[in-house]
Amino acid sequence: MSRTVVFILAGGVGKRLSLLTRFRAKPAVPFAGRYRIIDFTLTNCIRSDIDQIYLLTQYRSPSIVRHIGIGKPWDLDRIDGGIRSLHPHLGFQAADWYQGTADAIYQNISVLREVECRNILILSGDHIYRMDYRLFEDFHERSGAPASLSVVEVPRSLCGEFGIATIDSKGVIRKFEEKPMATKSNLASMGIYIFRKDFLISTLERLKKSIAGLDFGRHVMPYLVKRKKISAYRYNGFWLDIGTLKSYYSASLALLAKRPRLNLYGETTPVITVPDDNPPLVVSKDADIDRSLICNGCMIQGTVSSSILSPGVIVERGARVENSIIFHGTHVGRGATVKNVILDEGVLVGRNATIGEGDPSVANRLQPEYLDFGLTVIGGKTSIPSGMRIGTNCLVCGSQDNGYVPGGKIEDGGYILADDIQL
Amino acid sequence: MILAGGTGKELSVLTRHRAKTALPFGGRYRIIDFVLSNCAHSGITDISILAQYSPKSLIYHIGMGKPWDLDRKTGGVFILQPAYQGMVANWYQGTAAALYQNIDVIRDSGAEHVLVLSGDQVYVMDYREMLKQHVSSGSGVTIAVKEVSPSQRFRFGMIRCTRDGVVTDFEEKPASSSFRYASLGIYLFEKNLLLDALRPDRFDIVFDLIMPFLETGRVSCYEFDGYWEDIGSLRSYFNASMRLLNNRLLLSTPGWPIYTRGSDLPPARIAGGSHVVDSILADGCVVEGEVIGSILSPGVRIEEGARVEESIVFSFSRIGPGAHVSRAIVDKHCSIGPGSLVGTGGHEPGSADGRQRTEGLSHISTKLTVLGKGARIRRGEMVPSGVTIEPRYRPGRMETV
Repeated sequence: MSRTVVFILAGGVGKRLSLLTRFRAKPAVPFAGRYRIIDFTLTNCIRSDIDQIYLLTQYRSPSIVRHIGIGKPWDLDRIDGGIRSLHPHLGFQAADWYQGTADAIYQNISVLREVECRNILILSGDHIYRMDYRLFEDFHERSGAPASLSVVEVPRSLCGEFGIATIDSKGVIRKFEEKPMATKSNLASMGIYIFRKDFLISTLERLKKSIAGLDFGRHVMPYLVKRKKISAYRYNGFWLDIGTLKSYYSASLALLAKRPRLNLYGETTPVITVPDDNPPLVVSKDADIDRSLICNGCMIQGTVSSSILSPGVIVERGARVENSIIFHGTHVGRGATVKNVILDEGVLVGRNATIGEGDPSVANRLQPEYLDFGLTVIGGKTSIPSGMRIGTNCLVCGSQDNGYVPGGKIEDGGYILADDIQL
Repeated sequence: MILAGGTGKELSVLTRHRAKTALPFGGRYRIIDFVLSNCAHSGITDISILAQYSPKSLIYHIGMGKPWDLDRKTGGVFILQPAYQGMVANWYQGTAAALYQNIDVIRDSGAEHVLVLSGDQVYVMDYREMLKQHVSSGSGVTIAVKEVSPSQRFRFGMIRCTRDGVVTDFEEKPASSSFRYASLGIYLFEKNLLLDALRPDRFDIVFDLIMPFLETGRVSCYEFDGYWEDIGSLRSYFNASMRLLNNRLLLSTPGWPIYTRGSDLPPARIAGGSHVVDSILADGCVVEGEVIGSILSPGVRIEEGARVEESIVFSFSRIGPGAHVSRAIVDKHCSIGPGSLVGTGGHEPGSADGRQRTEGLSHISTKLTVLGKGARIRRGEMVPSGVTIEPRYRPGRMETV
């Protein structure tokens, strides 16, 4: 009997990533050029000798399913086990969308009953970290508790963004507060749990009777804490929950530091993703590249500094790209300037267009809560006309048919979204 | 049938421990990727690779053929090596001999035509066009040819043909030749004709199979006008590689990606204060120094203050701080110590400038420095231009070839 079966929660909407998750699920958002966010979790699984994985998808699931396929790149195409995707489905009893994180597991309780294992590891598909889950399992077995939560220390100033656990001397969680204003502990929940299988089933069945939209943080945790059934495992490495546009942008650019906290260049265990068939990076004679990560299939004739370029990006002569993140297959035309911008997949930036320069104190008018720190986001397939000027804190997305956006000028904090785009 | 058994002696230490067809090319590829990708894109999915010299690197690279979509229920890609088959137990002693030893593979296939290719050539070609002409001409054998200038004819098998494309004569590497067309070593046979022609005492495709057949008038040529290079020598390898810097089309023909075994390495990282121009970099490279007019395979590290120009560096080699590498081919897992000089001696000033290089290819005829796999160059050591370093060379026992 295998010790552990994994359920990965990958169904959330990721609304705070604005245009980036308009057409894809958060786990499928590109990161560090060639990866998708979920690659980190899948790599952790396979490096931890876990090969039975269920992926709970819901929002924009094709973006995830098409990336993962049969799991071949991660060696997860197995005779027995491997990776399987569980989407909300019709059945005799439950027939509904997943209403919460624990509800998603509950709706697949028949799968849970069938799998042969001692423990269930519950992961999230939108975290960036390198973790050996075997250490977490070992802790769980030793602790004797029927459930364990992985926690990580965070700066006190950030405690308001996490679920914060307070533990006793034996490591049992005695208090759990969601996004507290002030608290003594600084141990943040990573949203990663191990349950003894039978205990998880009985807990979910009991709670489901009285609670709709069952959520691990809001419902399951308080229930377990009250009964002293859950211990905390302290994880010490780098961990990041990509929540907002701001955290996505800053975490990405942090990779460019001389010694980044997340080191992708260790020779022994690279992060695994779907291989591509692009030619290598081609740098031409006039190019000027500084402090950047650039993938296969890119062609650089212009200037690129402090930026991350996914596969297949073309930067033409005289174009300048600075502090920007550019996704797959985007084309920056001659003389264009792209500064503090995320360009999604398949964008065309016309000649001499200028994007992202302006006054960062003017928040975006449509989504001021997400976009007020000096970043402009251009949605996938958008075609920016030649000479167009777009300020900072702007959101622009062209028609998904032909990329059309009217030319001219977009002031700081402005937005243009095609009729078929709603945020 | 892909012929991949040659020893590639002319490639010096680069082929000491690997088959020529598995030689890295263009950063992330191996030479055989081109022929395999041509097959995959041409809809050919029943492929045998006839290998015998140092096949390990080739076997590891090909695996079960997944990267080329050649892991098939029927057909796929197979590496066939000389085998003990009861009556005969021989190495492949020639191109036709290699085919003869696998005659049952040819006979048992359901194919009507047999395409014989070379695994050590770099080109992009749709074999369906060749097949179309072969079928419509009613020929028994079709040979792909290319027009070459008189000065280059000594390198090739030269072909004379009539205006209708019927081959009438053949000269192997003539000192000079009036024939305009060079054979590209790409042959399409009618299967039954090939089966009849193969005999235990026939070793060479050209001399023993095709020449005797010329008089029937059923040997045609198919003219190919794209880029084609045979990687026969260090010089042709270096030239073909450097050509990629000016002409990327070979690697990025629309609708014709070159497939290869992917790596899981992160993107190329170009650090602050580095300088990269006119170069090709595969994934996983980390550049803190200068890279000019060079090609880097996956996972190469160029440390601070190092300078690499007009060079080819294979996977996971490391150029230490302040080291200079010029006009060199550095095989994989080499380590070049801080401040050492590789290939810089006897170098006229200014010739490393990218512009001069591209204007006059003649510079390339100056001596190349070649470092075998896993060589270590000590801190501050100097390896003069034109020197070849043995694989796994360690400081203190310099053996130059």
